[in-house]
Amino acid sequence: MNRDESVVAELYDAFSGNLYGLMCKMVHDEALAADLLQEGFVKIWKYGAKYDPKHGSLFTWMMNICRNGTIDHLRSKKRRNEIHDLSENVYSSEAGNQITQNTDTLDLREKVAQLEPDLRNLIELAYFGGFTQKEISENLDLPLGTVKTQMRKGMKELRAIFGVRQ
Amino acid sequence: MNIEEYISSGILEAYALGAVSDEERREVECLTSIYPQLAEALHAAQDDVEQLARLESKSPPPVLKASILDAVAQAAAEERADADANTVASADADVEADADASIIQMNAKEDPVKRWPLGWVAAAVIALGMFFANYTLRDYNAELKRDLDQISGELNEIRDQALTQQERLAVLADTSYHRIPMKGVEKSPTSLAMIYWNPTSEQVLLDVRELPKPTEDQQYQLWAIVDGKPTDLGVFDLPEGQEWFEMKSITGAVAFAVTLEPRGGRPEPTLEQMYVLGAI
Repeated sequence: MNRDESVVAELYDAFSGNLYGLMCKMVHDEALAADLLQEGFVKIWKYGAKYDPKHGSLFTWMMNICRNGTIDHLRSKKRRNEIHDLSENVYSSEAGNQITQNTDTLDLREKVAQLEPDLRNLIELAYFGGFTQKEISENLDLPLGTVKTQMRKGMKELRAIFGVRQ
Repeated sequence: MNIEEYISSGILEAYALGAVSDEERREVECLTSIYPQLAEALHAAQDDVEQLARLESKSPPPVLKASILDAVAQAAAEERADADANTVASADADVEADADASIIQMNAKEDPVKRWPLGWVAAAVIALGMFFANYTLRDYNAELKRDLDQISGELNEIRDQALTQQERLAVLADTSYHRIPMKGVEKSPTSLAMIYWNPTSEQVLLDVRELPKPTEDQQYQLWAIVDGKPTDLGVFDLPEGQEWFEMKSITGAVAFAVTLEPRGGRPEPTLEQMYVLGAI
């Protein structure tokens, strides 16, 4: 194992929980999430030299690689016919997830759960569902402008929950 | 561009959530690399999304780590084998395609001399790449500088115009100025010029509204009639924009007039060449 490969072990220790949780939330299938995480880490190792801190944190970069791979999978499986199915899945999967979740994030989770359902739904459809604003607008039959302003509003409220940084 | 407006459009949050179109994604990546303020706002949005993702954190099955590290090690081995195979194949075309990868690797290691030329080629390619990158960047910088110069030039122009407008408003509002329209005479009925004259300060301002374009060797000349005699107030060309001319000072004027004279003007007006005239 050369130096690059040992870096992967370190990255795994630091981020696998976050990435795996994200992928479970996206695909609702732990075995599949594990496979996708493996693909994700191979890509992270392959493209590691391309990471540029100017464009965001290492975690964001890794998250995007894993998320993009997962979205590709979802699209290829054509499991993305109806947003209704997906948004229902997003919510119904939560009860199961919570058992193994970190206790130190429980408080924040509760606060996020208290976000206005419409705003929260938009954010989750985008981030965990992998839908673009345009797709959300078309599928939910909402004007694109509304999707945009509501999504920004939701993100503002999230920021208030997560606390002001810097 | 208006940075604040761009930030408040919410596109950075949408980008951080991965919900933008390909065009928007390229736009955000381009703009955030140009404007530090945008990059900062984007990073803040990305932090929020990170937090959101962390809430879902979940321990993977313990066996997954070994499996993933195996997969990475395998990918690394394949890549090294590919690289070595390529090196040997290009250095020695006689190596059989179905040769064992480990033998290829050994051959390659025993024959470092043959690897040298490729190394030099790579170095040359990299150097060339850097040269062009540098060249392109310098080009780009020069372009940016040109744009900046042009913009600051335009800004100065606008600032001058604003100043001029302010000064004019002050003159118009100042009741000590006489406002004397000089109207076109028979020779040129549509001609018009305005005089703003302050008898106290003796300042004379000229606003040319409409005068025929003279030939190259001609110039207009402004006269004031004082004590029944024309007094020279100076020559002028047609204004390029809408600027006012400050002419020679005068006291005791009862009328103003403009004649067309040979370039440089004359001591006495050529009356048949009078274009506009206005009495107080």
